[in-house]
Amino acid sequence: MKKLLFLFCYATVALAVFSWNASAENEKLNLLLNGQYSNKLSESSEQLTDLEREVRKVLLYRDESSAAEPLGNIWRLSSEMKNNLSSLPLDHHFSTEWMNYLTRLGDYADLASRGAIPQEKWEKALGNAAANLSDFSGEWSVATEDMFTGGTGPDEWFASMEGEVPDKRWANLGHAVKTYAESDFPLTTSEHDEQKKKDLQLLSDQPVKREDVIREFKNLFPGLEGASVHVSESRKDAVYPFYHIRFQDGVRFGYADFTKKGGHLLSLLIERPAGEGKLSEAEIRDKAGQFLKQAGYEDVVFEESRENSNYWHLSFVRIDSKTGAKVFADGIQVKAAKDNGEILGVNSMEYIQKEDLKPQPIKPFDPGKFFSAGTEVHSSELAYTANRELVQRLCHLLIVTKETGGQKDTYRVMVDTDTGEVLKNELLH
Amino acid sequence: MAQKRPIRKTHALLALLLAFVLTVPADKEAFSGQDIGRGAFGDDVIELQARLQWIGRYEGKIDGKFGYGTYWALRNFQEAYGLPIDGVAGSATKSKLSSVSKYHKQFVMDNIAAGNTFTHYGGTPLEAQVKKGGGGQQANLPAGYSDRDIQLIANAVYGEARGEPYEGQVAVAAVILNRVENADFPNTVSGVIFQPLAFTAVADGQIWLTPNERAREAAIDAINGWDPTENALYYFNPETATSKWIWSRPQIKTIGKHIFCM
Repeated sequence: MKKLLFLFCYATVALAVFSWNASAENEKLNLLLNGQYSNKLSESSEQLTDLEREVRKVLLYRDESSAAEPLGNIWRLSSEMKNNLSSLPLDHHFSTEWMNYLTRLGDYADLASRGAIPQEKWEKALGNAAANLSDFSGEWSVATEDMFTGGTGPDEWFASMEGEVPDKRWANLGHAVKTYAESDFPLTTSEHDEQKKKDLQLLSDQPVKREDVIREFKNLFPGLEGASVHVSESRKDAVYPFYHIRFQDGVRFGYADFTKKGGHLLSLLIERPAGEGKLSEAEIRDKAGQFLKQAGYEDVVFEESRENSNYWHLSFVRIDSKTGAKVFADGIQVKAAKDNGEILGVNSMEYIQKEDLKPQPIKPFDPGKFFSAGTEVHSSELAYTANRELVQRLCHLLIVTKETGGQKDTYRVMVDTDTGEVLKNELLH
Repeated sequence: MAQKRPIRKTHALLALLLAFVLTVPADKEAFSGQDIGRGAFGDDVIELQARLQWIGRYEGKIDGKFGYGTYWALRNFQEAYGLPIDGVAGSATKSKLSSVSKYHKQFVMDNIAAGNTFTHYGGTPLEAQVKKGGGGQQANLPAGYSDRDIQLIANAVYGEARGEPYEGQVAVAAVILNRVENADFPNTVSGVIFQPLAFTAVADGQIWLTPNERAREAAIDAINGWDPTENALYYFNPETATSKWIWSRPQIKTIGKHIFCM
């Protein structure tokens, strides 16, 4: 009994010491974290003041070279502010809107410094931005006031961030920034790609029924004729409505999504164990090409392939019937098994709605005069790509090499057939 | 005693044979039967790069990825040896290359497995051509993505969704990539994954579990364009989610235990 009592007392004392230590440790960590957050917040506030000043400064100049420095500073400061912001536990809505605004502002300044945006246009946008940043600066001071007093610890920061009722100050700030972003800056390129997918809501095809997509699914993938399928519909808030098919056929499991309007295949993936054996890339490419033809994608050509452990990923692009040019924005990706070439994935989301291609002159182009000495052109063809204004432009697509310091680098260069502007220059590995 | 001598001789012969096998590189018919061209990945490409480097025709990294560096090196080799110049390693090219080069498979594979930076030039002691770290072989990815991206995404997928169907794993990877493309989020894979409170696996440390091959495949599929979420930016498990905010997001679809939303 005495021993038990001793053990009990010993355990209680040990537990108390441990708890006290853990609590002290937590307190230290809390203080450390609080210090770091306050530091980041303080930096953000200073950067906001600097950013506002640089935006005002840039409006002083007509001369492009004088505007270059403040434009560069805007780009740098917006990038640094985003870094700080991404490490602070602030209200979700506000931080996403503010990151968005900073990205747009930074990108805009970068484009303006490279002469990609006419001066009157960026002067107007940055003039609005200067006024908006001034308003924002005041709101920001009010919203962050408590955070510098030391009374707000990490727990309070996180609680405010995940709170059931959003803090009004942050909610208002988020709403204000969203308005600034929409009024001051147009869409970014990546948003344009994203927008293309969302524009699937604009499909004008007639809605199809569940039975229709099951039939289409089995037509496209006759190997899955005997699969058991379960069809569900997208949730009501989905930007474009679609059918979601989950299926199983022996060891094969997968999904396929079809648009409700028109019953177009969005994407499909099959998971199954990899088998022995290995087909050559040429055989895989043939099988993928045959599949696409049978599936009705007759206007696409092979672009590139990539091998990984058990699969090949192949890219196909649409060919414009008028110019014979490749349209990279209307691509299809295919995943094929290395063992027998079975099609295990199709992604045709971007192919469903074709890009709007306008007629464009093709002026004479002499690569010998265009590139510097020692640049070797290995292939040339026509292809479409988007310019900075997000308009699809017909280009000369050239694969060139240039030897620098004993190393031969390969580039894919796209030159506008009308203006001669370089729209893409990508170093290939 | 008399019986032991033949055994010693046999041991000596075996030891000699073993030493021969270990030190002399396998030169001929070492490649598989497949033609190797641009886009290929794996052991055949590693051997091709190592052999080209042995004879000084390839200066790039031996990483098993048949990109443009390997392509031009192979064409130069074909031109120098009077072979058809097509940048594809067919049987004639492989045979010629095997006859004029050496391949120390053990050395190359050990260094790739150890993640070392190394070269395989002939005429220089191999031990002098190794530096620790900075190497390794991950995956064959589209332009714009790095091996580090695939590693981080695979870690996040494994930490967040290892019990989910394959579609659900690709979906988690797709959400990460959708965020990278969206102006509302950081514009790098690591920025998105390590954004405070963005992913539970980061908060509870499960992101540092070693991902399995399935999680890596899911990450590779997402990087190659698949997005089973239909453009989602968020997801949550309705059984465990404590944030009311997440319920306010417009929902797109359910995959496994997760609801994906805008």
